[in-house]
Amino acid sequence: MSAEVLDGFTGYFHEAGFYASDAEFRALIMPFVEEGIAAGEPVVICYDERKSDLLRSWLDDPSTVTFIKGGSMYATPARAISAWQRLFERHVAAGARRVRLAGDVPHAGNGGRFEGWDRYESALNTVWDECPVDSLCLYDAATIPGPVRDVVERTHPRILTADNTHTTNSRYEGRTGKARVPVSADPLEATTPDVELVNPSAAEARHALERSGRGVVGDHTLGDLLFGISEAVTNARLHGVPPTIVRIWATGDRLVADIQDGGHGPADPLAGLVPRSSATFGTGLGLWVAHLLDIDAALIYTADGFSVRLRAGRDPAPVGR
Amino acid sequence: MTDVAQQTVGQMRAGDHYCLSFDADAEQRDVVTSYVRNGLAHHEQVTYFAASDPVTVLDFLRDSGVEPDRFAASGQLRVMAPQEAFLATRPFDPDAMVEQLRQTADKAFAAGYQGLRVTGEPSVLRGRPGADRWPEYEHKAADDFTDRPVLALCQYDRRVFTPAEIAEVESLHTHTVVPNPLYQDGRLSIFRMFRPPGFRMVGELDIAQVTAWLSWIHRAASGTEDDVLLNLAELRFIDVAGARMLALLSDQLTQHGRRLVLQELQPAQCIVFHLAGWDELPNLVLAETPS
Repeated sequence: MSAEVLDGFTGYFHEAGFYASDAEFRALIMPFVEEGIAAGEPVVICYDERKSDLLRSWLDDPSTVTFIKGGSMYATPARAISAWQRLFERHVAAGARRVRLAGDVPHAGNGGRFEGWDRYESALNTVWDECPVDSLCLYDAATIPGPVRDVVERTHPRILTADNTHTTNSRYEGRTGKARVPVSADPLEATTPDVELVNPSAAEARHALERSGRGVVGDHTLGDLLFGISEAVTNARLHGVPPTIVRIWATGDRLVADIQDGGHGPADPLAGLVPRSSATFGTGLGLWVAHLLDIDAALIYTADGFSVRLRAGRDPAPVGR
Repeated sequence: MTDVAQQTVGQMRAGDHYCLSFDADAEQRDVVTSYVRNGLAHHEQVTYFAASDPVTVLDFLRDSGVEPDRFAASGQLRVMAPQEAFLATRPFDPDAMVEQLRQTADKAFAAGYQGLRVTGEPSVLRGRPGADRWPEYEHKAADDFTDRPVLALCQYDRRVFTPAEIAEVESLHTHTVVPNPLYQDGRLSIFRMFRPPGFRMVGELDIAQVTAWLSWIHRAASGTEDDVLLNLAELRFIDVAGARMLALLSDQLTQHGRRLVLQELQPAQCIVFHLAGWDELPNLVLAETPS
């Protein structure tokens, strides 16, 4: 960003841009990178291999930029927040005045799944509010699905246009976390569950999942699911509205578990994305830990209530909810 | 950890022929005291084939609150010196020993006892003539009492026998016997460990149990001035609330200059400690099991 935009700004600068070609991508990303290099700021790039190679080819000295593989960084939104946080804390501790990062979150346009990343894009405005970080989120206008673009436009305070102009985004909704893409239903959820439990204890839910899931997924993954279902049932019983209903589906290579209650779900838009406890030993960690594991965890808000859906195994074909 | 199934001493029933392999006097006395006390409470005759002077056995039973003198006087408790049993013949004769057992059982049932509870310390035979026929005795004794209300607990001192010998004698029994749990709820049992001193947690720990469990562990931890050691090898599950309680306990121990050592924490159970940052607490020591 230009010096006049920065002008004494010390906190988080969250900007989005849309490109329709490699040339436009270059026009948006290169000033961001080059200004950072010139200012002696660490620049961290997290794109797929093709875009990373393009960037390397445009740079005089690619070693001045840190390239990270997108797949590892963007495993889950909670992990990405935590990993980025550790990364720029290291840079700041080493003396960096500001840190620049640019990346590409998963969505259908780049072969990924956007579920959860809507909350991520919104949450960054709160989580990194005080952090000396400039992040540029560039999306391919040709492949980004319409609902994803809508979320992006509602969650970024600033927009970078192809002529390298930084503008205030009039569609930005602040930190409400309301910009969401509906979570796709899993095909199994339209079928009769293998197990349905009403108001189970966390242990009963775990044991039912273990009986259904042993051998369906690996032991490590099953362990993650058992942790997730236990925390979800505990939360539903502590904070939700009865009844708590647990449904489990198991196929040859996939496990799905829904933990539903009749409440509205956590009102905090950061729930599950960051640890929600100010005290060392406080509560509020279970949902966050569940989102850090090697499973797919989705928070689903509907008119009937709130569900945590946990999945592992082979990816299903998405269907509309 | 042995491959032979484990049974708590309190769960032993008529017909059981189990072994106890111990490496601390406190462990032996914990199990044997429970075994003897249960037999006396169930109006069984208890016969103890000692490795040393019977007074030693009577003393530790007395120290454990069993009141052995009263039961010895009535004949319900009999503590036999080595010369009266394992060393009665030279060399050791399995058939003679089985015959002695048979007569003991006959007299016990004739006297109206509900059963016969036998325990012995075969370490006294080690290095003596006929010791190699011990397995033969174990087999014959077990065969002889399958249809009578007799229980047997064979005590093996790991400090006397080699690991190979212990493995061999354990294989002669269907179960090894462990102390009764100090704490038990529907999903979690905690057993005392004797070497090193500590506690072994078996089962699962989640938010539904943590209040009762924390209350118990606080009492247990206050009974010692050393570090508190918990072996978690058999803890199949711990949730955030359970891990938080362990972190809290370590924090409280810090005030007294003590540590909480979590031994053999399973990799799957470690993750919550790492993610929450509790692995960096100064007085919480995580000794993980390699994945």
